[in-house]
Amino acid sequence: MTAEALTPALASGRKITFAMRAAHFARGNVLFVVGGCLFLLIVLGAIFAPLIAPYDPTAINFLDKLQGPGFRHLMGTNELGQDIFSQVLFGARTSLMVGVVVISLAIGIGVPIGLVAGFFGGWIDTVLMRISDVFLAFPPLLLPIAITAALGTGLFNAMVALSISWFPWYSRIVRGAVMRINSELYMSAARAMGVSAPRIMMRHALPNSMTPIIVQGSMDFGYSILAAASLSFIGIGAQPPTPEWGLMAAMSRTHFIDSWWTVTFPGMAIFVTVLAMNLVGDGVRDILDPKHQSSH
Amino acid sequence: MARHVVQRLILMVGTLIGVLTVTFVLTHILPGSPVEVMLGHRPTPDQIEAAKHQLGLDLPIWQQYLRFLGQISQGNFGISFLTSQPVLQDIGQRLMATVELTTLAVICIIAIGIPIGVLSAVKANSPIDHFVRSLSVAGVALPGFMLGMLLQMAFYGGLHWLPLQGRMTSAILLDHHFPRVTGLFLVDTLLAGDWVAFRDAAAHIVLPLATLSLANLPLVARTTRNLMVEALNEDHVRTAFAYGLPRRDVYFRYALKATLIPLLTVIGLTYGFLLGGAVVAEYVFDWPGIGSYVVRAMVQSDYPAAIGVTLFLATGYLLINLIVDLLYYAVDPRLRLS
Amino acid sequence: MSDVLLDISGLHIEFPSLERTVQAVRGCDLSVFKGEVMGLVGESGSGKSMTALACLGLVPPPGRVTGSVRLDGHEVVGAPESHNRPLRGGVAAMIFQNPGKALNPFFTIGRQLTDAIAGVRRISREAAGKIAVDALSEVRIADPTQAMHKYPHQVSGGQLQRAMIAMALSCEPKLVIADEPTTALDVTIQAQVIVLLRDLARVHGLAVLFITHDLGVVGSLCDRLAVMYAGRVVESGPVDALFASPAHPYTASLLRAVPALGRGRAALTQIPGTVPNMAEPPTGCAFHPRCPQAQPRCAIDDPMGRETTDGRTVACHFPLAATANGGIAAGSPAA
Repeated sequence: MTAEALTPALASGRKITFAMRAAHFARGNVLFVVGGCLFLLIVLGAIFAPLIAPYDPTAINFLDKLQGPGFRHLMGTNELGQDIFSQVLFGARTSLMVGVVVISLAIGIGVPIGLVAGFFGGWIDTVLMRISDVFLAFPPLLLPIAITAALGTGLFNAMVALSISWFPWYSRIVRGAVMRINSELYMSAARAMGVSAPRIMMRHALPNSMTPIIVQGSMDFGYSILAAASLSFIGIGAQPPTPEWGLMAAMSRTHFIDSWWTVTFPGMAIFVTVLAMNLVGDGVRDILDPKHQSSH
Repeated sequence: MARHVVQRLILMVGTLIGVLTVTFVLTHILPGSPVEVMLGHRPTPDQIEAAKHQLGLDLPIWQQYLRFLGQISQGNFGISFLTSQPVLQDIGQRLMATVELTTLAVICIIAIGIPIGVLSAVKANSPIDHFVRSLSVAGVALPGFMLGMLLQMAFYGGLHWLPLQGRMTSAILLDHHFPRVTGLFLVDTLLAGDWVAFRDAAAHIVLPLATLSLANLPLVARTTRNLMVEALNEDHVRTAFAYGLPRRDVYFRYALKATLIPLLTVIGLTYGFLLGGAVVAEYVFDWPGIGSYVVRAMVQSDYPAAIGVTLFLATGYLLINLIVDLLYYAVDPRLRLS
Repeated sequence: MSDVLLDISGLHIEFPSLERTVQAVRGCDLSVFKGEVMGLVGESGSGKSMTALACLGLVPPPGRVTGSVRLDGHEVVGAPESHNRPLRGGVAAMIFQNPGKALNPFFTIGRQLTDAIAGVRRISREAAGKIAVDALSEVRIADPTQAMHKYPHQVSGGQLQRAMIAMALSCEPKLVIADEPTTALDVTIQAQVIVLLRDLARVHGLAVLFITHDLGVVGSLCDRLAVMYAGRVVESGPVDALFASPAHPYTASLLRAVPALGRGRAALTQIPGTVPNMAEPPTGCAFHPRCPQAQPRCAIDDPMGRETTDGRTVACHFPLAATANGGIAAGSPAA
């Protein structure tokens, strides 16, 4: 009764235009808008890095080593005299690439597995899902470390490792969506009409699981950047001279106590990027999945 | 109840075998033959053959796998190439350092995160709530290593209050012979009544502990808040208020218990995150636990050690999840009595 | 029936939000005298439950409460928590709609009863436990001692509602506010619980504010009746008089739709039109869009409650005449 009183069935007859909706949305989702703008800035910085960066991020200049932030070097230099601002800019390219690759790969592995498991059910489902579960049985970050170590250190391998340890989440989402649809009538109708299994999956099951996948993907984007930076930090991800924020922080370990800028700026770059992405992810979830609206 | 426990145990064994298999596959595609690592510089071809035979690497892959399973099931994790000690012994020496750190972190997270979450929920949509929520959104975005290094800059570099890294000053470690009863330095030094060593151990653990706790606090606080907001909307909370129960009792006894089950799941997950986070934190603070051990083992292709620790941590993680699952029964009468 | 126990006047409850403000209660006037059973009837969303919660200062945030609620001489609206807390349970005890949800699933029934009784009556937990057992047997629960150790999910809805009644009674209140106590129960159980409530109220000399959307149960239970529509009492008076000759067209249509006991839910929807949107209630008389007797004036002018003979009030510009057959006298329907 309370709930009914609070949510009247229909709003007034006023016509609601798209602009009004957008304005209302922006007002109610300030954080999403802020995150989106930040993210846009980062993307622009990454795209135009070669134009904006005052120095070659890999250029070594011992004369200028460990300079504090100033006019010559906006964010100072590291112990090789490399310009940190330029490195941070180019690092944005690396990190955004990492996010895109990891999430796409995870979706690429997870979605087919989920589709097959959900569609066929039975022992195929059991086997595939039990295998997926094994990947979730490792403490987070330990499996990526193990896989990276096995494949060999390097940024690409680190990305592959992260995707492998992330895909089960997507399998689960897709499988759940497929199972729900499977039980619905039009699926059996489609099957009765002799439509082939792959067709049914592509036409019906996949579109229906898009929303949760997008939600999960946008939430995971930031975390994958964070995880990749952590792998680089402990020395098994990106290798020099790749401009990578985690690696920059790692290389500053010998002197960061006296030269705070060497770790602070790359660290802030990770922080801002992940924060922006999380805010966007939260917003996307709220828009696409209204169930969660009240609880972010 | 008993049936459920058995079911869960069987499932867990199945998952463990899966974990074993994954680990086996991973370590057998390791680049750089483990033999080279073991034998060091320029071994002769004969030496290599002998070593391969000794490790069973000349056998077909499926025989290697069975042999591997057999050894593991007997608790034989092999010998570390780097330390030349049994891996289990290495783990034993380093385990308690990690346990000390992560367990204290879990305690801190629960003791701080839950009250903050409750406060935030009780004052939903107030400035306090907005502040807590903003902090928790920002908190998960901060990389653990960055947090650790910031703390080092502030409390070691700037203020000189706390040591930079390690578990104990080496001079104290050499001079003070407190018995290693538990392996937890804080407990052992207390038991021995060695205040100097205790203070030193405490000073060393503060920064890594703060790093691990702060990095994982936001998730618990945020989850507590959201669960609590839901619980406070339940009819039974309204009943409790309608009979004049004090707010504190309603929040911390009646409502919080209703949130305990999902909260337990989150705390179990957090323990997992901590095991992962400990890898980074131990690296930053040079903490001699299994986290830093496993990184070194993996980077240097010390594959018995890598397998051993991976298995150990995965088992620990599974066990924690099992315990969490069983705790549901202790908490929820609807499960216990059905 | 001399002293007023509960006196609500000009009660407004609003729920503001970014977009619009929902007016759950809009000027409710209601009083309950000592020892009487008062029925409060209305459709879902008419503001009955919010009115009930306001009696104990329990309106959830962000609800804004204005007007006056005097409970046993204490002003509840605007009073601090510390002032209202002793009233809860001690002066007025509530029984809620869904007993399965109204008790905490993680604690035994006994624990919850004991907590409430010990807190309200400021007695030891042992004494409170004994009172709880007695109360459980008074509400005819078969094995009270055993029931104390049970968790809510282990007993039926009817038993739970009996336990809730026991909880209310053993706090020794002057007023029991029962918010749709039988709605969630089976039809046969509904009758039992209502009879139990009536008997206990009589034995203990309790006043009861009985909230329901089911006119069928009101006749056998209540002394007086208030009909609520769109956040306001549109008609009130002795049950017999109201039943015999409703003055408000809304009461009349409710009565026409009244079924046998227990079938109320489906029947109430038979009144044409829908419950008004409380964010933007109709102008004038809130009932006019659905009223068969509506005149142009009804859409502009908001009727205030008027006292008629024999202690009845009605808020209508064109009340139906008090003829024996309840037929239409004043204001012929607009064609």
